[in-house]
Amino acid sequence: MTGQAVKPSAPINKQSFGYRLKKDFYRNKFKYLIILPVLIYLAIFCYKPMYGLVIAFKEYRPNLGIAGSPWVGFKQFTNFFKDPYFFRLIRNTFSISLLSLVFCFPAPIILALFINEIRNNVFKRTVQTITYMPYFISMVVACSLVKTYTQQNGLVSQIVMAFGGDAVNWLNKSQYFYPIYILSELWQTVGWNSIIYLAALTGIDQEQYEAARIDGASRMQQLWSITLPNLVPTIMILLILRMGGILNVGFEKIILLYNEGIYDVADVISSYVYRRGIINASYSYGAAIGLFNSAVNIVFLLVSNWISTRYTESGLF
Amino acid sequence: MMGKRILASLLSMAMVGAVLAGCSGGGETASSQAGSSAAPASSAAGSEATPAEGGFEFTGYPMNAQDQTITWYGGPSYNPNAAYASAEDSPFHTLLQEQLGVNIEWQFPTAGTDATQAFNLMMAGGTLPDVINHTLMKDAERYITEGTIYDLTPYIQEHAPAYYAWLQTDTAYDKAMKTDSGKYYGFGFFREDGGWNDTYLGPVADAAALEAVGIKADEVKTISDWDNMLKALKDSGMSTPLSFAKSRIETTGISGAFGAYGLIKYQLFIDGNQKVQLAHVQPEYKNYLQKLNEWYQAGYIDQDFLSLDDTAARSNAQNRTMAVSITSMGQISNWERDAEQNSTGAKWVALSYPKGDDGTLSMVFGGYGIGEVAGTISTNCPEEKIPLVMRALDYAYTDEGFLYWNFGKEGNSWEYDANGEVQYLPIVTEDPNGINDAIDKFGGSTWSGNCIQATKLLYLKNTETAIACNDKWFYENEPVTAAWKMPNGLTYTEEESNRHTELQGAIQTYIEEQSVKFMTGEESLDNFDNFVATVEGMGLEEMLAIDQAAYDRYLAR
Repeated sequence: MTGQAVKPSAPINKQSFGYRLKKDFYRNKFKYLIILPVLIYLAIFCYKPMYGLVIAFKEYRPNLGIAGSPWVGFKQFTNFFKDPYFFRLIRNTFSISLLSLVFCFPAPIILALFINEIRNNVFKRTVQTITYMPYFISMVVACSLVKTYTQQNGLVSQIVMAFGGDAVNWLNKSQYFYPIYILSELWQTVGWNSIIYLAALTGIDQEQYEAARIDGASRMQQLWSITLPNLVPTIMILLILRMGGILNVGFEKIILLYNEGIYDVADVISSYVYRRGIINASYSYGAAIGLFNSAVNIVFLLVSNWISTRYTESGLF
Repeated sequence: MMGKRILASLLSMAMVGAVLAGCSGGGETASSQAGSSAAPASSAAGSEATPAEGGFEFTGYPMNAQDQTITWYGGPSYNPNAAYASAEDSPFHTLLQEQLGVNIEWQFPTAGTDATQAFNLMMAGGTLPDVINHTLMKDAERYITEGTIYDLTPYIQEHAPAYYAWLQTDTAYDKAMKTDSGKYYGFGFFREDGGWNDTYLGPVADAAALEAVGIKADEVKTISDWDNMLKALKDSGMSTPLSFAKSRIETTGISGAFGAYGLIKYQLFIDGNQKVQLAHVQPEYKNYLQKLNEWYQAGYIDQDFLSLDDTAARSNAQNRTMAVSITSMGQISNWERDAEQNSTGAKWVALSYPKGDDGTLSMVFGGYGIGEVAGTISTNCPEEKIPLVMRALDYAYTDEGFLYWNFGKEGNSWEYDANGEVQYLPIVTEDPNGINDAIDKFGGSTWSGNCIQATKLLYLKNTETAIACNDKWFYENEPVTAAWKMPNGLTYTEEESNRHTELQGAIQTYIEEQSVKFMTGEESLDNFDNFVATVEGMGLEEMLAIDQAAYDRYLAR
């Protein structure tokens, strides 16, 4: 799959597929061997559990097992579409996803460009280390930090009070949830995500810069005309992957941060699945919502991939 | 060239990313599969447990069945004390095996996980342990019909005589441990002294702080008194006079004073006409929220209460940033010890459950002294092993087992004093982490279990102040502690259970969310009628009809 996007179209081969496969297999047997563990991993952990998805069309009861539980058709799905929270869940999930796309997606690119322009190596490495450190803090710890800072007498309130504002518990107010979520997300991931762009930046042919300098291009012009165009394929691929996970808002962070008072903005599909599916033991209902979620994700992935291959000529497949 | 190679490697990295993303999408199913590994080898243990002669003769404890293994899921009730890495090191669990004379392979949910979540994942996993202890009373009938757990009726008299005799001492016990069709399903948790310790939550105050503003804790009796008290404390410069761990207020708080029956959490109650009602749609509930909102707006109530747990409340008590709270008897013991050790000057005492100014008191937190858990036997346990497992469970209800489950092994952790009373030995009283913690190491009845909790244990465990708190909360209000409660032993039919889960799922989220909003003022109480109408639109009537039918069947048992 990976090969197709970069290889020019394969030469037309008149021999049969079976024959070609055999030939290829003999020629590349070690490469096949190397990929085998990944295939096994995929089969066991990604494809086998998919069988469990049939419970979305059943009324699953533990003792009857997956095969023995009665079929109920699309009942779980209709129930979800009729659920009083359906629209709210979709809205919240999209809001959080889009906001983090708008703010958290470009940020690492900008950071990588900045870091790339730094000429002092010591300073450069220090900045890099400091910015990607938060990524290694466990989510639970990071969220309890956020919770402590946003308490009524926490850090945020202290700062606001210094400027004459009121001390409140920021996580109890719906309107502050998104900013808190996005800012903490940025703090945690911006450094880490910039690494892949930095790697791409080192791969840009230095001769292009040299040529540009001889032609008298300024740093800014070099950035616009050389660096950014060279980064576009990387950016597009990461963007497509991100679009494929548009409805996958990480439920760990939501569950660690939210409370009943801000369900109206913070309750997303995955947290609702957790409460209904695991806590209330409506396994089938939870599975149905999860399946719906994945279906929407696939649609987004395909659409954005199609747009990307059409307009930028780089895509997943 | 170089660019292409970089791009290719980026692409393969991206593919790995896609693989990982794909897997997290399937995570839900994957994790439910993983649940099966938490319940290992019980079928294997079962097959080797069948004795060659094909039968088990009970001749007294220890049973001399060391060659047999019972897999036992302890659920949320009696996990090993945090000082021990696992049940294999914990005195209570290892000595219990010795007392019983049988091998036990203990299973517990990982510390800190939600008990219901752990249970649901285990059930979805497939391989179940022999003994399952969980809060599954409501669904017992269903689990029996589906063949997940055994109907114990044919065995109970013969193989669990002590337990059977105990159930006969009170019809409420017997009713609670049977399904509507009269099947015994498990071994419950009971309090020796009935409802006394079920009223373990109540209002408390720092008497020293009250005195500083000229108020005597004894004289705070009505909601107006509370108004004055909170105002005086706030005016004296205290930042948040009233603070509490969310888990301590969300059940009911001081709703009785308003004629209400609940607070944030989904709560059903039984009204004077034996009708099942939802606490949150009553007009009295609005008055309760109104007052809480008033206190919240005035800054009396801690704005952070939604994120406070017992530890945070404890530090508020220690730092004296609050003077009034709602908490449990166990916590008061801690607060009192903290105050002594650090000489903070705080003096925690119980407040009476406040009444309305007209004397209203519809309820206080409490119950019948019957826990919600039941130790059941799963059908993974082979039939010929049932007598052995029943005897292992029955032990807790014998005279000897009662002492063991509460205090540990005689001569090891306790002995009789001159008056024939149980007295802890230095191994408990001189434990570096304090007696409160040490009690857990040797006994299994502190929180709940498949046993009878001794009142004596609570007296030994808690400080005098804490006992006095519990006395005050319970004895002052005894008639209204349990009468309002839905009995723990109600059971639903399969159809009812499915429908109820569906309806309750949506209603629960809505009332919890709105209650908090009304309380904090995010939502105006003018919209209370809309709120009620919405809940009704979510199928409230149908849900209550299911509960009513279950309650009627319970009464008819």
